[in-house]
Amino acid sequence: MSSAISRQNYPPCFGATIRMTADSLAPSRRVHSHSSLKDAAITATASISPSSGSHSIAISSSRVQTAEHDTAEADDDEDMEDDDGADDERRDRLELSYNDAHVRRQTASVSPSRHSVASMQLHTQSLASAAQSRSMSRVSSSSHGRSAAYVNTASISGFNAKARERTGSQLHDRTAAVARVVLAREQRQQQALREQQAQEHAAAEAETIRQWQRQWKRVLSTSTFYFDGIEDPTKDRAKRQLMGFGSTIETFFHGDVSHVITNRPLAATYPATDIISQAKQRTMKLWTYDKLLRFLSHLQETPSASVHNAGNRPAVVASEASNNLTRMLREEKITGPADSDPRARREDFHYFKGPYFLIRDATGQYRPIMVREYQKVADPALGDWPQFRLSGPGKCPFVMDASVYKNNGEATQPRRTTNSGSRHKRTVTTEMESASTSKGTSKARKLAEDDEAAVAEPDGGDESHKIKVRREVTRNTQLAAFKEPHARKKSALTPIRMTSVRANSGGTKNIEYRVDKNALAATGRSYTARMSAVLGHEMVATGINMSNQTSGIRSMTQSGGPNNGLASAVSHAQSKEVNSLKRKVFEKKKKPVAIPQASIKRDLVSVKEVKPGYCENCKDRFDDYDEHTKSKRHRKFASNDDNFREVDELLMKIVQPLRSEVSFI
Amino acid sequence: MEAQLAEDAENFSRSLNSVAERFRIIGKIGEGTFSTVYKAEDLHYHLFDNSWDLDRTPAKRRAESNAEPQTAKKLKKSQEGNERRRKLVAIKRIYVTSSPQRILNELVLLHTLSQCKAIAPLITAFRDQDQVVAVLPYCKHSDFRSFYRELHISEWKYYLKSIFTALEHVHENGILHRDVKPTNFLYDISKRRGVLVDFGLAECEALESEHCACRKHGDSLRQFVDRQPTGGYLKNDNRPGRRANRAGTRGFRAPEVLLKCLNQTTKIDTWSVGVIMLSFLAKRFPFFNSADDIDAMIEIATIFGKPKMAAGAKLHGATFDSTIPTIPDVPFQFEDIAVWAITGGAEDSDLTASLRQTYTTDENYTQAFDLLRCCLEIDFRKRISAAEALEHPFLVDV
Repeated sequence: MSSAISRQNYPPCFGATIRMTADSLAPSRRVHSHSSLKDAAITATASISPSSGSHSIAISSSRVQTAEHDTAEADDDEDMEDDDGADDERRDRLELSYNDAHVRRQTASVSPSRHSVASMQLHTQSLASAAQSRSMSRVSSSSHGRSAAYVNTASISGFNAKARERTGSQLHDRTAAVARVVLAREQRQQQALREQQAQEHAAAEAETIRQWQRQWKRVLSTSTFYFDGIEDPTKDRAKRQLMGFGSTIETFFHGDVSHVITNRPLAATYPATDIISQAKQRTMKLWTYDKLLRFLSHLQETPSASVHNAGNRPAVVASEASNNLTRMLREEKITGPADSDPRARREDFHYFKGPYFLIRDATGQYRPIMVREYQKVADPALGDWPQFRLSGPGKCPFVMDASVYKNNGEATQPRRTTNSGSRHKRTVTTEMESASTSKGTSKARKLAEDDEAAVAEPDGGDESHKIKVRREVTRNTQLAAFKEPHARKKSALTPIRMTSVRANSGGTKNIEYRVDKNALAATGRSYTARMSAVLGHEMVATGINMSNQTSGIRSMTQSGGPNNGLASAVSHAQSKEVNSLKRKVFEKKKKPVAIPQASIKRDLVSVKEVKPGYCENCKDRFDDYDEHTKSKRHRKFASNDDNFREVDELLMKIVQPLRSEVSFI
Repeated sequence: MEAQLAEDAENFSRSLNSVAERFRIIGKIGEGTFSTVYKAEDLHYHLFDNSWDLDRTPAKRRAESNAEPQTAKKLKKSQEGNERRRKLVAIKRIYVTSSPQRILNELVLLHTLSQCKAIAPLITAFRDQDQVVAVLPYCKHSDFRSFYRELHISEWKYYLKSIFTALEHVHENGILHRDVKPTNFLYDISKRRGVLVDFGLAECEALESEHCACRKHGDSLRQFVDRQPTGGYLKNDNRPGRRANRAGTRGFRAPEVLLKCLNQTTKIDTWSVGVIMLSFLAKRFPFFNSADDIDAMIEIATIFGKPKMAAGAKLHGATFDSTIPTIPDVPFQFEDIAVWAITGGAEDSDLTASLRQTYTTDENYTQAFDLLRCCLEIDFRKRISAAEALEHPFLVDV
């Protein structure tokens, strides 16, 4: 039979299968909505409530840990190999582990319990029978009645026999159903976690509002108000409210008034004796009447602590007002008081001096998603940021590849043609191109040659290239600190000097390097220099792909905080913890090779590589994978079969059937 | 290195008895995010049902179906006439520091997707305490780097056809692979067939749509009057950071992933295929190379230009602002990029002229660039899907 099962016969659209059958089920058994799944669980078994109880506790504990790792947010990606790296790509496990911490901890915090497994079994059954009813129309089967029994089958072989009686497609349906349930559960957990975070956030904001109200009430108790020609009939009520807070209302203007309420345009010029001029001169608060009314309404509202309150509660108006207030307070924190001059310089704000890249969250709820600033350079081609660069065939076009650095005036970035359908005038682009035309680049090169102090001479005969290096600090601060080096083609034993500019010290620092051309080309020459600036100590590249290290370290520094925004040449580690972490990572990664004269060639390294990371099961970081897996704590988890109950269930289904057990048709 | 590999493989074999009995570890293929993969020979191949094996010839299948249950020895004898290739498998050893949920996730996904030809099927799996091992077929493949520049466009069409087929199946099941890139697609040039591997980062689509501006079609931004100052940042910013799943390899991540959209869809995989296509057309690999998300974003911005980036950011509730001079106001055409990349910037050469000519007249190329644009579309809603890509003129007749 198995040989006759061609893959085309399998119901093509698993998703559709489940979704359609779910639709046809009674509402209480739908998979999609959060609450109805719960209902289904309750009807099926009462045991879900304890697990969801523990579920929320687990979540809050995981939250504590999440906060701790805030700055260590990393991703589990890897960098591409340079050309000569023949091996498969390696990922930085430390990065990975932090991503685990960040992304997966919610799920890890809820360990598979009997309750959840039981509920899963029952869910799977309901889904399975639904799936079966669909697949039955395609494949005949006589085993419908046995669906309830499959998870409880005692012996594996017995199970396998039963399993084989059914068609392969039904097996897949069930497994797929399991997949959906498990993954749906993960999703819900993540969702719940987010909601909880949102709740807490809202509660924090409510508290902020209360604080604001308290502070203002205190201020009001000592304030004096003067109403400058307000005709509005509501002014009496406003005055009464103010007096209720302890403020004094003056009928005549005098120098000790703290607030002037006016409806006259504030921007207009008034004679010096006019009240408005006087108020400005004496730095009294000048408010429009509208502002006063808004202010009073905010003062009197009760802040709501729930995120989802707008429109759901009877006191809609009050809720909306306090929501507005919440938002205003939030914005004020960022934009400054609404009545202040937005163009005035703010002390709490860092203004970019050089080219920058800024992606902000438009709602203002989150800190900027991406912030980075670079040093100003006269020639954009010298800029440290990613851009098109002259590069050789097969190489990344964003990485300077010195081996094709000719003097023929090649375009360092694509030329536009109107043929290709670009409808914009070329003048727009020529402005950009002129920056990186041959003129620009040769000029830059000339400068480098002028400044050059020591250059390693190329070997006669082979194609190696020099690594040009600048000994001295750029005289002109406008120029980039680093010149694109020409990498030596041979591997790496030549000492080279590279300078880096330290933002704080302003001096130069000579760092001894041994670099591999490929590593340099792959990572972009500035990374090594950057890393040394950041780490503050000598960095030795061993010819192994350095981008792994840099990514591991850099990605950790790249969470949304303000300090990460600066290019490394002007940046410094923002927190002690991250700094020490970086050093740790760096040292741990290349344990035996921290010594300059350590063997460069990879195959000489006979010391076992230490692999640090994070264990999702013990919920703990470790320095050495092998050591940790042998540790008592981990072994305790490992030897407890209960932890792997769900995995075992799945394994039972996917174990490869023996040939003899498959019936051939 | 050799000794180390051998020792490692031996340790592994010893640790997992079932593995040692049945498989002979040949060597380590690679180390992934969550696992190490070994190449091994399946010594008991003939004892098992091998419907997973696409290479079984009809003759073999008949032989298997007709034969009575036999020992391995007898079967081998009866097949003496045929060329007896050893059966190679890839053994994936999942790191024991992975949680059972994660292990379950990957196994379930692998198994769910097993029936697609373009996805490496799960042959079997074992567990010994915390060590779970998955056995997949060993897919003979060529190193992407060795062929991506050499293959003619009419050949590398098959690559795309194969990968989109695989992704179509994955996406139909509501799954995001998240890590599509050449090293995870093992392509055999001679067979014109490839296999999508490594579902370690894969996950199901969100069941309920998450809160991102893109879900409300970007209109909700109207209610937020953006009075935040720009041109700088707050020195002490206590606001939380946006969090979303950012798994994947940087050069291949879609813009919405970089922007931390909470509502990522299967379209993120299509973007990755677009990046692969870019490598084929521009003959550069890797095309993008960035140390972090911001660099990755800047690289993309360098191609698409400020207005498109701003629109893309707005879609996900973000603002885009940059004074980097190399980020253009007008996007680059991919044809121009390809010409520049292939000729190394030499503007006046004959090659340049002939390339431009080809790109505008050769149907293969015009269609290819069009499909490329459909894949590398910043707005995920407009981006082509895997199923649609298979219907695109470039691939429909393949």
